Amino acid sequence: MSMIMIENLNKSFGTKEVLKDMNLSLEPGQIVGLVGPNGSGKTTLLKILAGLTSDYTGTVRIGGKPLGVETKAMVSYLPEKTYLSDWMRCVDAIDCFNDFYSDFDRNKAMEMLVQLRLDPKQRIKTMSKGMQEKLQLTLVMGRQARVYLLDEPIGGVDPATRSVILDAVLKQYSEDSLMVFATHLIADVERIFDRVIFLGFGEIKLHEEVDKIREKYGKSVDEVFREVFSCLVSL
Amino acid sequence: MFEEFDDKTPIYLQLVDIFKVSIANGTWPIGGRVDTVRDLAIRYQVNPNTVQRSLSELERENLVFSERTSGRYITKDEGVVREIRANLAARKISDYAEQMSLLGFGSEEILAMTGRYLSEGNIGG
Amino acid sequence: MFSKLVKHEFRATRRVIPFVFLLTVFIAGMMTVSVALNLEAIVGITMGLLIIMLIAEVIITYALIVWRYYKTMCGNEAYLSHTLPVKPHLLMWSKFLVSFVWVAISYLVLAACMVLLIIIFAKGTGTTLAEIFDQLKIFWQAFGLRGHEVTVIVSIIGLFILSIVSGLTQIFFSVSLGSTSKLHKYGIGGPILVYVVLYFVLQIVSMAAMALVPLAFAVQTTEAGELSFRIVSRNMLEWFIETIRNGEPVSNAGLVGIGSYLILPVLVAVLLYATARIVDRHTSVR
Repeated sequence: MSMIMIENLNKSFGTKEVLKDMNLSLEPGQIVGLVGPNGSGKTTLLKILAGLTSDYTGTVRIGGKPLGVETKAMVSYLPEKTYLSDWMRCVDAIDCFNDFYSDFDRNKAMEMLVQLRLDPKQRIKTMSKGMQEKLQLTLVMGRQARVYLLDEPIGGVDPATRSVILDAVLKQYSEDSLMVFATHLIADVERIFDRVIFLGFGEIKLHEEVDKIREKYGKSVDEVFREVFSCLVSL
Repeated sequence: MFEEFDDKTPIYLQLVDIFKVSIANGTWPIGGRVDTVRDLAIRYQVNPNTVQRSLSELERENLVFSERTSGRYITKDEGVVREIRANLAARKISDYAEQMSLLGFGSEEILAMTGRYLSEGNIGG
Repeated sequence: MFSKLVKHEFRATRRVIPFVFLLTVFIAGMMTVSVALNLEAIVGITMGLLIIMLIAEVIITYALIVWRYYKTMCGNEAYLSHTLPVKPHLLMWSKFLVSFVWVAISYLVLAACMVLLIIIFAKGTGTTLAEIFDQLKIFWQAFGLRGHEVTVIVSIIGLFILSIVSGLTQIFFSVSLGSTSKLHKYGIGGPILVYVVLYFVLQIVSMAAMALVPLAFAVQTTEAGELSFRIVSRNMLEWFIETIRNGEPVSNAGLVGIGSYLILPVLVAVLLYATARIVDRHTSVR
C-alpha cells in the first residue's frame, strides 16, 4: 500500500495555480528528494500533506487515511519557518511534543539536543534562527513517525550541521517509514535519496531513482536538474 | 569524514568498489561481521537502500554471505579474497599503464621510472 | 487531548496576561497605602494611574488574546498548532475557555478597583459605608427592584458572561475568517476588515431585533413615585410610532425592546459554529 497517495491534486492562490493536477504515489522505506526551484510548489505540497492547508481539490491519502487527526498523528513535519513560542525553553518544547505525540521519544530528543550542542534550559527568545532550526529538527526527529516531511532542512546551515542533519535522517530511516526531503541544494544530498521528484511550476517534471538517473544520463542528479530547469526557464 | 563520490556512475557501483577495497586490504577481515546497513549508510552518508543493493552485489560475487539471523559476514574463502585483490590490482595497473603510455612513455621507461620511484622509498613497507 | 490543550494554553498565557492584573493591583495597593498615610502628592498620581490602568488592563487583556489567537492559529506558531493530532476546532475551544477566564478576571479586577475607588472617595468626603449602602437601597427601591434581587443578580451575571462570550466570539470569528486564503492578500487587514463588517452587521441586527421582536420591558411609574418593570409581549417599533402619532405616550408605560438580548445568544452560537467550521475546513496557514 502506498504511504502517500495523491490524485488530481490542484491548489491555487487566487488566480495563481501552485499545484496542477498532480498525481503521485510513494511507498514506505524510502528517502525521497523533492527538488525544484523556489516557487515550484514544494512547500505548498508539504503543507497540504501536513494538514496546514485544507483548501485544495483532489484526493490525498496518507497511510490509506484521508487527511485529518489520524494522518497528523502519523506525520512529522519540519517547516522552514520557526514556530516555537518565545517564552519556551528547549525542555518546554520537548515536553510539549511528549505530551501531544504518542510516538515521541523524550530520551532520544534529549540526546540529540546534546549532540547539537543546545542547552536544554535556554529560552527560544535568546536563540539564533539556526539554533531554533536545530531544536525543531530535534523535535521532528524525536518522533517515530510513519512519514517525515522535511522542508529545506539543510538550507543555510554550515557543513558540520549539515552532516549532523543527514546523520539524523539516516538514523531515523526505517523500512516502514517514508521520508520526503524538499531541497534546492541537490549536490550536497543526492546520495542519501532513493529517488527524486523534480517539481517545476506545480508539475512533476521527472520522477526517477537516483541511480537510474546516473545510469541513464551518465551525470549526477544535480547536473540533470540544472539541465531540466534551465530548459524550463528558457522556454 | 566520508568518501568523495564521482558524479557519473551510479552510487551503488562506487560503494561496491569501496567495499571491495576494504575486503582486499583487510579493513573488513576475512570471516568478520559486516557492519549493519544503517551504520554503513551513516558512515558513507548514503541511502540505506543503496548500501543494501551494493551488499547484494557483493553477495552475488560471493564476497559476503548472510546468515539468516545474525547478519552478514565476509567470506571465509581466502582464495576469493586473494582473487578480488588481484583483480583490483590488475585494474589499477592497467589504468596506470594506460595513462603513462598516453604521456608517451614506452614499457621499458615506465618500468624503470616506477622502479626508481619505489626504490627511493616513497611507499612505506 | 482537550485537557492537554487547555493546560498548554494556560501555560503559554500565564506568564504575560496576569502581569497586567498584578500591575493594576499593585497600583491600587500603592494608592491605598498613600491614602492611609495621607501622602497627598502620591495619592493624586496613583489614582490617575489606576484610572488609566483600569481602562487599559481590559483592553490589553483583549489585545493579548487577539495577538495570541492570530499567532497560534494563523501565524508562525500555527505550524505547530495545526500539526498537532487534534481536530482544529478543539484548539479553538481550548483558547476560548482560557481566554474567557482571563477576560473574566480582568473585569473582576476592574470591578474590585472601582469599589475601592468609591470607598476612598467616600472617605474623602466624610461619608461612611453605611451611608453609601443606605443611598444604594433608596436607588434600588426607586427603580422598583425590591423583591427582585435574585433575578437582577442572575441577569447581571448572565449579561456579564454573555458579553465576554460575545466579545471573544467576534474576535475568534474575525481572525479565523480574515485569515482564510481568499483574504490572504490583505495580510493583517483581513481580520480587521471582517471585524468592522461584523460589527456593523451585529449592530444593525440587534437594533432590528430590539425594535421588531415583540418582547419588551414596560417601564411605569407607580403612584408611590417608584418605577416598576413588567415584561410585555409588544414590539417596540409599534409603540414608538404610536407615541409619535399621538404626541404623547399611549399609556404611561415606556417600552424598551429586549429582543436584542434574545437574538445575541443565537448569533453568538451561529458565529461559534461558523468559526469551528472555518478552522476545521478552511485553514490555510501562510
